[in-house]
Amino acid sequence: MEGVEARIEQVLSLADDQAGERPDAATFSALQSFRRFCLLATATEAWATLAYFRDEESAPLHLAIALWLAACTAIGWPRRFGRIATAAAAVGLGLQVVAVFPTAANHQVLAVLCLGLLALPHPDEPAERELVLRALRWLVVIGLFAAGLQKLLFGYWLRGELLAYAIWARDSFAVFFQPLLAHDEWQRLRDLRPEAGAGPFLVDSPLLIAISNATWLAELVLPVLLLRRGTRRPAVVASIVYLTLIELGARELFFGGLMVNLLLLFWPSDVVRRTLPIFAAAYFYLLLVMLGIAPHWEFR
Amino acid sequence: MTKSPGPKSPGGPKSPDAARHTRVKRRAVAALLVGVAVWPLLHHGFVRATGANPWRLFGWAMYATPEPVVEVSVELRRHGSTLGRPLSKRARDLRDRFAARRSSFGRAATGESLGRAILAAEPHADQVEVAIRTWRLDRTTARLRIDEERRVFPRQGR
Repeated sequence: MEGVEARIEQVLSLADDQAGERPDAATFSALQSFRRFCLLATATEAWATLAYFRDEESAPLHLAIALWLAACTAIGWPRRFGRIATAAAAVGLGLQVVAVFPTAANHQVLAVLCLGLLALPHPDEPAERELVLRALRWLVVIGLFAAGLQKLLFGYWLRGELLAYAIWARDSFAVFFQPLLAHDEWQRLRDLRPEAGAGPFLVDSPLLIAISNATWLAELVLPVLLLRRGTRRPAVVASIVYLTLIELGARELFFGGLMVNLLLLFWPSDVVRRTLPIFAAAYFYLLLVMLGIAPHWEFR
Repeated sequence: MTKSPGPKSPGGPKSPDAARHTRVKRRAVAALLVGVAVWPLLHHGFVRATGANPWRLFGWAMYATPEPVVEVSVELRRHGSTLGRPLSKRARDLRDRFAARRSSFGRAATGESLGRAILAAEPHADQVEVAIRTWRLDRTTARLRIDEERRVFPRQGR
């Protein structure tokens, strides 16, 4: 058993900061800020989910979950009830994932894991806070690497097929990649009809093929650079730039927001606290879009 | 924003109970991370074997392939002829729920239960044909492909 403990410690500690770089107060502060971010993000998305299911039979359930998560956010914002509210939010979001199974978004499962981990540490135990910070960092590392590996194994990024398809199928990708493609090539993809045999979903542009291959390669390499202490800070910046570029096309703002904040946990100081007002303003704006007060645009 | 007063001080050596709790939590977290790390490989195998939607089931495979589109249509028959009536709401709900399941689980969702459930919801029909069309991007040709599967379910025990 001691051997297992030692091995677990050895692997988990790969996500640690350099000795002495991160006092417990910084870990405490970062986890508090990340907890507030998670509560805010999941509550906002619950209202977006309710808007999506408003005409379905399950609408009352989604309304109850949205109210529940909003209450958890309000109650759990101050430190005093933070742990219990975070655990309650994990249960509420977990119920929603089960309710919409198997169509729950992957990042909602990730958010359940994050909330569950954040509810774990006892307030008097610095070692448990450290454990949770390590686990959250490992979630990012595993997730990014798995995403790159899946792209490589399925093979749709090697010749740019996925990007060509995305340009055809999604306006947001078409707009994003238009400046990078010759007009004729871009137009050919956009004019393809949705019928059997349509295609080929290939591009001649060496730049787009390079971007396509750089994508899966980045997802395999960045996690390693995040773990290496010497390259951690540039890797955090590069990962956030990479995610931002992806979201300009994909517009999956809830996924992107969660991943960016998880990445910020690699920074030695509490950056999440400083960026929280920006995310709070962004989520407030998304609520206005959902309510029809701000102009509508497509996001996920 | 609420100003945080900072962490509580541990204030002395850990009790044996507290140390045990921390050890249990460490193991639980390690098991969770191992599960999260291994699952994408199992997920990949499942998707390859069944044609399931890689975007679903937390396999970190969003955008790894274009999302397959599944269309399910149901035809009601009586004495070999097509019934000229629209599906009931119950049957439409069953069909749509099956389409979502089929999209997520691929061929692991066979349609067997759908056929039986629709016959139960449509007492006038003695046979139901379920057609499943899955749109995919064929990686070899880089062209759209439609995989079609049709199954006929006769009413049993009449």
